[in-house]
Amino acid sequence: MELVIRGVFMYLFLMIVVRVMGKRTMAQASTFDFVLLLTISQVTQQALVGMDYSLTGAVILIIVFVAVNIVFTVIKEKSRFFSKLIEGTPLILVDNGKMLPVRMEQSQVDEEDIMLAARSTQGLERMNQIKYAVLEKDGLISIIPIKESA
Amino acid sequence: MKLLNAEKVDPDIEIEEDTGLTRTNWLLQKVAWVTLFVIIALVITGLFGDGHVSLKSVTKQHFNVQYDQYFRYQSEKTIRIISKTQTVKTVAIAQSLMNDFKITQIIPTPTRSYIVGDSRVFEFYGDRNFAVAFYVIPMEPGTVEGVLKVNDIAFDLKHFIYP
Repeated sequence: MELVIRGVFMYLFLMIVVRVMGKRTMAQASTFDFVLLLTISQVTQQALVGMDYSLTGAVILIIVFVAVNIVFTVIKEKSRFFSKLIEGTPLILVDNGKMLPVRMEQSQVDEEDIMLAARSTQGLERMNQIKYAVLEKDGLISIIPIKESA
Repeated sequence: MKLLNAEKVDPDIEIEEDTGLTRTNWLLQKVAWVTLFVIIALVITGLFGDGHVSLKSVTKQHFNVQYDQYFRYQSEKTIRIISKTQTVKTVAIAQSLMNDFKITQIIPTPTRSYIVGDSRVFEFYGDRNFAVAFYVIPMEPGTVEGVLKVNDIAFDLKHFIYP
């Protein structure tokens, strides 16, 4: 019983932590962020299993995590609002070559992040070549270039 | 407020933007950031153990008992009994405390241990036992109360064990 409560609590807690960190932060993960994530996973593991090193305990926890994940997936499929609440929605950061500073600041995205995405995915050189830059639900930036007339 | 002044966009692409929800998310994120720092401040004070708020020191007659009020589940702590003048001959710990704690070490080692009523008594040899330390691991989350008697002088211990 205790393992189930611990598993469910940690799942929900980690979900909140990931949301609090911000989706852009997760997508931008640097080397140190990976170290931080590894540390978080190690601390989580200790909190979950405590002194229980049994195979049964590990199996129960994995089952709990997978089951909670399935429940969340089903709820997200059924409820559009819940899905948006958990995963967020896409957000336009550049509109016809014009940056939207409030949206960018609140999403912790700067001009360099957008130009990096523009160069690497579309080979664009300047901001005014971008029609839309969209911060996607997964934290990646999609670039839609302005179509140049022939 | 900046959060409420997010630029309005009328895109001609198929995109499911929800600026209302996004603004709420930004607001909640800021609240969560503040909450993190509040929690850190509370941790520093000792509300979750290991700090000024948690540490309790009670003196009765010649004996001083020092212990943490806030424990964390399966995290080892110490209950110390100190006296400058009188030796500790016996320490009796209520069974209610014994049930929720695992004693890992007692310094000095008691010569014998036995049960009297609802307490476990530890007897110490010698006449210079001016400090006794019980190293304990809390095994059950929640509130734990009980009496600890040093040479028949009762100290009421109350702990909260965080899960």
